[in-house]
Amino acid sequence: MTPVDKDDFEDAELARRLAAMPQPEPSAELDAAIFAHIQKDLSPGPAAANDPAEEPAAKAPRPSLLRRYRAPLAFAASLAGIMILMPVWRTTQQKEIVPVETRIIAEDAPSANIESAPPSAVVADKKLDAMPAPKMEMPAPPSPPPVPAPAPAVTAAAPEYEPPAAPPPAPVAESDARARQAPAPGIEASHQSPKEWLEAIERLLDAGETGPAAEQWKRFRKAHPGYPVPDTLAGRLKALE
Amino acid sequence: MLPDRSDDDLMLRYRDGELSAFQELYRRHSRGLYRFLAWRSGRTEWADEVAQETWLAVHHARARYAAQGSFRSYLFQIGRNRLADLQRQPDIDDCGDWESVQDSAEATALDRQQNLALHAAIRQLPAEQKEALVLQHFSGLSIDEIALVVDAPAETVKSRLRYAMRKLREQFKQEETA
Repeated sequence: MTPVDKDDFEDAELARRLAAMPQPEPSAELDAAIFAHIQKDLSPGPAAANDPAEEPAAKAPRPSLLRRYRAPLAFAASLAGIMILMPVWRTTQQKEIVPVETRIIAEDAPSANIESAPPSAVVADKKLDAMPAPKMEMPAPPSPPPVPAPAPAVTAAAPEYEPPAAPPPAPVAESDARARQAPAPGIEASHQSPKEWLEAIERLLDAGETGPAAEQWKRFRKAHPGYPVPDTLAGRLKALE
Repeated sequence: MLPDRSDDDLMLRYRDGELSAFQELYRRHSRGLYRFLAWRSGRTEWADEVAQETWLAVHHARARYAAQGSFRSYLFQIGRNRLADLQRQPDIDDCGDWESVQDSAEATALDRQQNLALHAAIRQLPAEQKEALVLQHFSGLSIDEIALVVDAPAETVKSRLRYAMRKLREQFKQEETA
């Protein structure tokens, strides 16, 4: 036997021994884990033809239109809300001012009204009171026509002063027109309620008739010394003095 | 019948979504791959981890597989590279803990002793020789396949195998004389 033959023989023997050696084997758990992973991956369908090694990451859903423009929409909605609510708020505020004025008038009314009532009206009231009742039921003679008693005079007879319903604030253009159309503000103005009188004075001021306005203001203050005057009007009147 | 088909054919079927083709490939090569990984790493947990990663890498790359008649070399190359990546990690202790394999119940005391001696002798071989020896004798690869896996000429592989066998023979003789 040559050395080469001997080596071959020994190699064969060694190879047999190597083949007989117990070898490590993959566990059943490892097999199951690999199969499970691959089965799960294959279940949705065949893989993409190009590059399945890179799992296509699920694209994040594009945010909806509402979500993307959330901030601008919120801003626009706020603006719209302000535009809608502003006129409502202004109207409400004006309505709140009117009852306050009315209340002030009601507090001052009994004394002021009596004071402001012209003597002729008071006389008329007294005459009416003095008239017998049957006479009141008689039909009114055709002439002279009955002189309607002014409303403040009638209310003056009432136990409590009922201020006349305050007219809603007229627009500026309307008040200007009324100032132009108003008869000469003189004695007629003194027949009005203090509020109306002040409005008449204000209209005179607006019309630039400072003289009559000052005259009326003096008369008004004499008639209603304690009546509250709005600051703006008071300032204008003070300027006249 | 799937067992009659070549590895490349099975791989192409698997690429098209045929799970049974993968199962046949796994049946053919899972043991050989696992032995190679266990011997080369010396740790069963590494062998488990790298084996799983290797098969999943094959799965993910199945659409790019080029049928060149050497699926086994391709599979072992993936496993070898994955193991090299793992061993390159700085906090990895390369000292293997896979000391002995489980002997069968029928093995005699002499066989058991010879197996332990042979096991120790293989572990003492230089890494390249040990690798070639394991691939040939435990995983069943041919010289050409080993050359592809280790990226070396076939003659170099033959030389490594020759040296490995010579050392084992010498070790074997020493034990016999002792």
